[in-house]
Amino acid sequence: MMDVEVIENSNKCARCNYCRVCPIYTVEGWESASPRGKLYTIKSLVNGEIDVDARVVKELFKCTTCGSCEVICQVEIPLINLWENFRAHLNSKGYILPVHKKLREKTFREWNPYGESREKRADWFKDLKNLTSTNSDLLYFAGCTASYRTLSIARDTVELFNKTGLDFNYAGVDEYCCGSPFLRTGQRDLAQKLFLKNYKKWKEMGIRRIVTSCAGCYRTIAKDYPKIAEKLDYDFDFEVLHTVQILDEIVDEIDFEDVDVKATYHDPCHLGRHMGVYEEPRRVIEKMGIELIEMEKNRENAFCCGAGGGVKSQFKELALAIGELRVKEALNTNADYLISCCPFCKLHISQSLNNFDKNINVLDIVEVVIRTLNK
Amino acid sequence: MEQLKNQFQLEVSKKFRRFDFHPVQRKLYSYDLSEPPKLLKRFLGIADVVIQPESKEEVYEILKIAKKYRMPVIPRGSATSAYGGVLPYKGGIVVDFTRLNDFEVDEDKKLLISGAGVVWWDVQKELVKRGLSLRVYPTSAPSSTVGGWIGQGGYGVGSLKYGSIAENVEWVEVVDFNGIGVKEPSKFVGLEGTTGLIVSAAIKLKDYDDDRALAFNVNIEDSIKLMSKSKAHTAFFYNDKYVELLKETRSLKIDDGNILLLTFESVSNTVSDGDEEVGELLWQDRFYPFRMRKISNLICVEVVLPIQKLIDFSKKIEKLPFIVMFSKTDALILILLTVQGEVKYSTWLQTMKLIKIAEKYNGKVYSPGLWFSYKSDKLLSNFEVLRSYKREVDEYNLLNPGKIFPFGPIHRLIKLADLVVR
Ligand SMILES: Cc1cc2nc3c(=O)[nH]c(=O)nc-3n(C[C@H](O)[C@H](O)[C@H](O)COP(=O)(O)OP(=O)(O)OC[C@H]3O[C@@H](n4cnc5c(N)ncnc54)[C@H](O)[C@@H]3O)c2cc1C
Ligand code: SF4
Ligand code: SF4
Repeated sequence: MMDVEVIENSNKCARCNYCRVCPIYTVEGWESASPRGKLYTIKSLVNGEIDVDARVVKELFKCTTCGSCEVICQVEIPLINLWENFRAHLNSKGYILPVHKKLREKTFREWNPYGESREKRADWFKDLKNLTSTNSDLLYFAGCTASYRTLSIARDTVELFNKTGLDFNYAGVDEYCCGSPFLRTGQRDLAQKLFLKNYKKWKEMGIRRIVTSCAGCYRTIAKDYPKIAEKLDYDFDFEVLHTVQILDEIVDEIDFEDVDVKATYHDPCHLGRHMGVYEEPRRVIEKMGIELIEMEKNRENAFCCGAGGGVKSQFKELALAIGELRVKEALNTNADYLISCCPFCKLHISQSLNNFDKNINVLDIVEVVIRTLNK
Repeated sequence: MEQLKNQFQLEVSKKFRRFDFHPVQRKLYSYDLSEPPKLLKRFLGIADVVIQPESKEEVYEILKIAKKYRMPVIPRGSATSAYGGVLPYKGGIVVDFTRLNDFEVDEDKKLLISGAGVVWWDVQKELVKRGLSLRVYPTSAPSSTVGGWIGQGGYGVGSLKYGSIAENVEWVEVVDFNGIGVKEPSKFVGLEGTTGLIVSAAIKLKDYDDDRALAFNVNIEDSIKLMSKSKAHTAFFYNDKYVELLKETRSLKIDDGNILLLTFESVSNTVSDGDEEVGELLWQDRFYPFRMRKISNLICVEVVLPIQKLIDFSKKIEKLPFIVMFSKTDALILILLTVQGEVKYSTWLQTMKLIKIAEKYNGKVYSPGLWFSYKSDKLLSNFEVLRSYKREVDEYNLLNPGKIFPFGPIHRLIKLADLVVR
């Protein structure tokens, strides 16, 4: 049975097409890829006017869950939830895209969607082990991307914690994917499994606060985990933070070198639109003495990097085309740095930069902080 | 028949880069804002193919194929109109103009030379950077296209001072079966592509000036007086029922009662009283007339009346929420009807009843489109001239058939309903 809310909400659409701001629609230009078109597809499916086929399923999964449509929608349809619920419905009917299925299989094997060895998850941390405090109730949750792809973000984060005297603990190889890719692509069963594994470990470790580098992990642990916990009748009494929120609190006490650089800031969708964190990173950037030049689309209206919601894995070219539009906007600012607060955004934006002659340094905010600390 | 279809598909595939024959895509290009009841839906076809031309030459190629296979051609911008204009009533080729989105600005002549697919608000943002501005734009500007509003015709923001879109188009570039050419706009504005497909247009601009919006708690009589002696470029009147709804959906901090919103170019603002805060709130809200759908399904009935008749007509609809958008001579009234569940035939009868009341006050439905094409001869003053032009340029009635010029069963069915309504 399809969620009644999905049906009711898809019927509310006024068809004004203001959601043409969608990054997928911006690149593809077909109604089937637009939020309005997707809602009409759902409505037509519900009314039995069209049949599901491979193409329809593919179109419905072309969505980074960036939330731009939700922000602009004049009828205030909770679209992010709607997309996720409908994907869960498609999954329950056995419709799953091939690459998403592979991610699922890899995660069942190694507990990360990259399919990297579980044993190697904490390799980035090998020479930093002495920095942790097993007594601390603050957990650093690095997430899959920082653990396997953009290791410097994880390394710089723990170094920063150490330099600023922040005690923290780390679960090592017992850190499991948070489940974000699976929640976004409708695979809720696997997300629940991952929740249980992480939850058990955190309880064993006596954790009360969790801080993560990744915008996707942050949204998942702060917003989705409490819901899963409620469903399973578990208590969820963790305080969940993103690194930038900690940075915002301690930035006044950090001694920075004088710098003469300009930077622009990319709002990760899962940190900005999903969680409302817009000002903290900007405050930190300014306190570092860096001149911030905003891109044309910023804060609530920021353009997605193109990677989220299972798009990067399943629709590589589409994800890159979206990334390139964001890069173009960043290059137009003539800034020296493009700063973000998400390992996945960093990874994808860096790859999207490959086709440009002009360059810009793509860095996570923590990496910038570490580089500008007064030695 | 099947062979002809295959041949058509093959030819389209060879000639164009961006096209789609998938049944779901075709369905997605076969709706607009209107909600026809089941009875009418049965007579509506869906697109045979959707093509997104990337140049005016491609548009001409589409027409050549259409003629060869006797296929209707339905131009489409953002499909934000609500009169059935973009519906492929008899099937055919839906031409999605959104890829014709280049524009140039002639700063000396203060003209925007715009592709049909350019979105109004996208271009306005660029114009502002050059110290220029559109004189008029529809309140659907965040998504609607230049070609779409010209095709549809009508009033918008700025119309009090600058008139309808028709008064703001210097020339249009049109593609018909004879080729591509620049034309004088009168046979194309509001003609919904039935006399030719607009590929570009020259739009009049003004110097940019900040807008200053002021709100007044006044009834409709005083609104007309205030509005007429002001130098505002835009005047909207919100009746008390509408204000109530607005407060409920938007939690806006405004007083109950009727409101007149006047917006001025700051240089020509001579009015000093009026509430700036409420004015600004309503002005920022101008793009969102459908917010109310959040709480219940509703449809919008739009009628145009001479301003002198507005007071009497408004008494007839005072129990319903409505907004008035003023032009120099006319009042465009948007009346909201709440709908429980899905839109039924009875909802349409209600709509027609309101139109009938407006007609008693020299009013008329806002646009003929498909649904009201049987009224075109009364809505368009030069209908006969237009009809003979249509015959001249569209021998086989392939340019958006059924729109403006009645054709097929739909207009007859609606006309019948019109006769029933009292
Ligand atoms: C929120 C909202 C606010 C609105 N506010 C206003 C308003 O203030 N004033 C107003 O008048 N209307 C308004 N409308 C109605 C509608 O948005 C306008 O008529 C709009 O300008 C249509 O533009 P479009 O690109 O969506 O055109 P479409 O709906 O795609 O097309 C409109 C008509 O023009 C034809 N057409 C499209 N492109 C071409 C072309 N290139 N050549 C020839 N014919 C073409 C179509 O076949 C159709 O008949 C509003 C609608 C919404 C949803
Ligand atoms: S969430 Fe983002 S990608 Fe998905 S439909 Fe909305 S705007 Fe498009
Ligand atoms: S902005 Fe909202 S109401 Fe408008 S078309 Fe998109 S989903 Fe529908």
